[in-house]
Amino acid sequence: MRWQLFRNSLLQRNRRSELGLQWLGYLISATFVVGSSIGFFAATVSLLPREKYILDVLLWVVFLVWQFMPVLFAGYSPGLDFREVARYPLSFRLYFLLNAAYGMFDPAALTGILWLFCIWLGVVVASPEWALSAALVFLFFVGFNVIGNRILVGLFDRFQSTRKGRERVAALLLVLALLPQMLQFVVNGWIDVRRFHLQQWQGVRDAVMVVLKISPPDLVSQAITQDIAGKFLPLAILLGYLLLALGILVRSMRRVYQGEVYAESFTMKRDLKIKPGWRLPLLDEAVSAIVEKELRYMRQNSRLLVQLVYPVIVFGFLVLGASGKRMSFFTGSSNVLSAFAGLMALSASNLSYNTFGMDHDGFGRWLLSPMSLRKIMLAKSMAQGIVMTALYLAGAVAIVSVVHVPLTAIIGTTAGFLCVLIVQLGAGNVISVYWPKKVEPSQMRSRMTSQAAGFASMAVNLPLMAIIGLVVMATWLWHLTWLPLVAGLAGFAASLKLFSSLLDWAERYAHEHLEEIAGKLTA
Amino acid sequence: MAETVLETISLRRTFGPLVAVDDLNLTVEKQQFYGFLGPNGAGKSTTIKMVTGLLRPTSGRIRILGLDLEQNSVAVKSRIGVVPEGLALFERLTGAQLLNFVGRMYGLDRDTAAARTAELLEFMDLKDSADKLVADYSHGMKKKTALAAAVIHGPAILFLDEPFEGVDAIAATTLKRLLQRFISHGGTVFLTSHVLEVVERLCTHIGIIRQGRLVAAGSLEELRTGVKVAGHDGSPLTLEEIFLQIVGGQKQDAEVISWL
Repeated sequence: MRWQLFRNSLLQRNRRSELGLQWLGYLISATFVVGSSIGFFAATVSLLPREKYILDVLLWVVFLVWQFMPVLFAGYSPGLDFREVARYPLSFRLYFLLNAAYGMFDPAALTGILWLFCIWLGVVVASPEWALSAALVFLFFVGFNVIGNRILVGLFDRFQSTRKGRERVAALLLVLALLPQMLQFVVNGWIDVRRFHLQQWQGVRDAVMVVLKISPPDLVSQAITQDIAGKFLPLAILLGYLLLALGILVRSMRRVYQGEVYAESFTMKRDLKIKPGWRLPLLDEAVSAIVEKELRYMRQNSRLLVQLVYPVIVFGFLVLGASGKRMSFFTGSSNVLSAFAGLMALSASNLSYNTFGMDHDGFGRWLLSPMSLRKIMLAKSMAQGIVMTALYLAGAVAIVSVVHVPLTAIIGTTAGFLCVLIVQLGAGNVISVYWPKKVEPSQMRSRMTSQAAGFASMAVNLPLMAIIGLVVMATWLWHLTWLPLVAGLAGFAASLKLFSSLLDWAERYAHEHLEEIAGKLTA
Repeated sequence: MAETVLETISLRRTFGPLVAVDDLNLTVEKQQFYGFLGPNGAGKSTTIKMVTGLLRPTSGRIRILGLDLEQNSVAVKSRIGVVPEGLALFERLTGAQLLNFVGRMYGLDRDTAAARTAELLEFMDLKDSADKLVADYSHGMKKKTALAAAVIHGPAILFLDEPFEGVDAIAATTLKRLLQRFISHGGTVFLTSHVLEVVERLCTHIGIIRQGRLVAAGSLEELRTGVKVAGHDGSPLTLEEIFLQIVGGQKQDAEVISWL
């Protein structure tokens, strides 16, 4: 069943470019898995038995990947809802075994098993006296991970049984996925952590160390490396964890097997009050309606909001955590604002490169409406531009209130930001009709843009960055302090003309490929 | 002479080698309740998609209210209402937001759109779900919402693709009431449906399509006159009998699955 689902996921691609990219992604993943397996073996051989901590580290990696990767990236392994399996005439025992077996063939599980095997091979080479105990304990560890993961997936299904739950979980997972990137700002010295008085957190650190000592990966390591007498307690605790997890899994699966349904909650009856739509200045009624609709849709897409707000948060950290060892880059004060503007403008692609992605069947509503597609796309671009400009202004105001930036730099950078933003929006309209993709905001696996659009964005961003780079170099080399301002204003004017041309192009293409676009968005 | 509100001239649509609609010449007059019938895959939905602008014809012309659809698509679309096969709803809006949005898209001012939204939600018995996302509606509720969206701007013609499919008896009664009221106020309805009993009760004119070609068209009486069923007792033919006689396809007992 897993293999068939995997094969079908490859056969679904309508365009060769998407299929090629899919295969490339799998090849890269496979290369990573094989390479890391060799690395695990090499690390074990080179560091054991002197540096026993390497077992702790490697086992923690196996544990975290096995438990959280399937949840984080549920779509990379095609999913099967086990609530559906329960409707077939299966005994509970068989149902339980199928669920566990299904978990065993998850790509994260197969990766974890391969890693554990390579670690065990390393133990056999480096410390053959531990080989037998390692084999037995690793078997325990595999069982615990399989059961633990099925518990997590079951909990996940429960949280995701309502639409709001799905979206909140997707946003939370995205924040968790971004945390390592935030940590690297500390590790690489961009933020001066001394400002946060870490010595006050010593008590928390000690408590964490105690918890780590009784965590499954550490217990496995202790059960392997300790002498005979010392192995007993870690093994006993590990067995206890296994039995507890088994009990939890049996209990939760029995409920699902017996037909528990997680339904959407009922809403209270209220008096009907219809609010008139938003009145936006300078826009006609229909365009105002579209802008309002687009902003409502964006507000509901928690993943998108996190992606949009992330640059603002990063720069907040950098500016507030100033005096880290790499802050010399920012001592030229206008650099902060320019870097922020550049990042914000480039991140507009999250919004604009798949403008119909969330509309799904609603795409047909655009075709039924008495409006040209050109006007519809223009209104969508307006909504996207309003959001990006508002985020830029919020960040820019915060930056200039902390860091001194000359007025000419502010004007020039803002004009430059608007120029790049407008080009992004225009290009986005073209990319949206060439490579539309249905987006499910509640599913982590659902990318915001198609893979082909991601590659197409390079054709847009590289020339932009080249032009910006030339302006920056010319300013620096020949001290042309007026150049950024002039270039920004000229670029802004040119971008408006380019936007209009790109809009015409997008509309022409859309009219000739309406069925294809609608098919992609409703599949 | 009755006014022609919908006319297709040699309409054709192919999907690669498949001819979905072939040389279709259809005429619908004002205040007709036109039922467009056919077996699965006959071309009904393809036809209705073409005449509403959701699908481009391979060849042929479409005239609605005297205007060519391709040349005057915006003007035509402002005067028709459509409930398409997939309903075409923005499911991440609430029912109230969606109707408000559609009303404004069709040129209604904010206050008129809001007032008609309230009225339609009340009529369709969706008042208590007005603040729920359309994504959380049942199929029947979505159908009613789509119908409300189709009529909010007061169109001259309604195009409905399978309006009674998946709808309970109470909702179906509401739909019928609305459509009959619409006709009596000068509107025209063009619908496709598999529910022949409902079509027989509501429709004044029928068109039957098979394998992309129009094989019969006219009023129910005209169709009855033109169709003879061997062994029939002489009582007026039902629409189902007419339909089956024209399109064929009724299996004999010997062809029924042997183990059932």
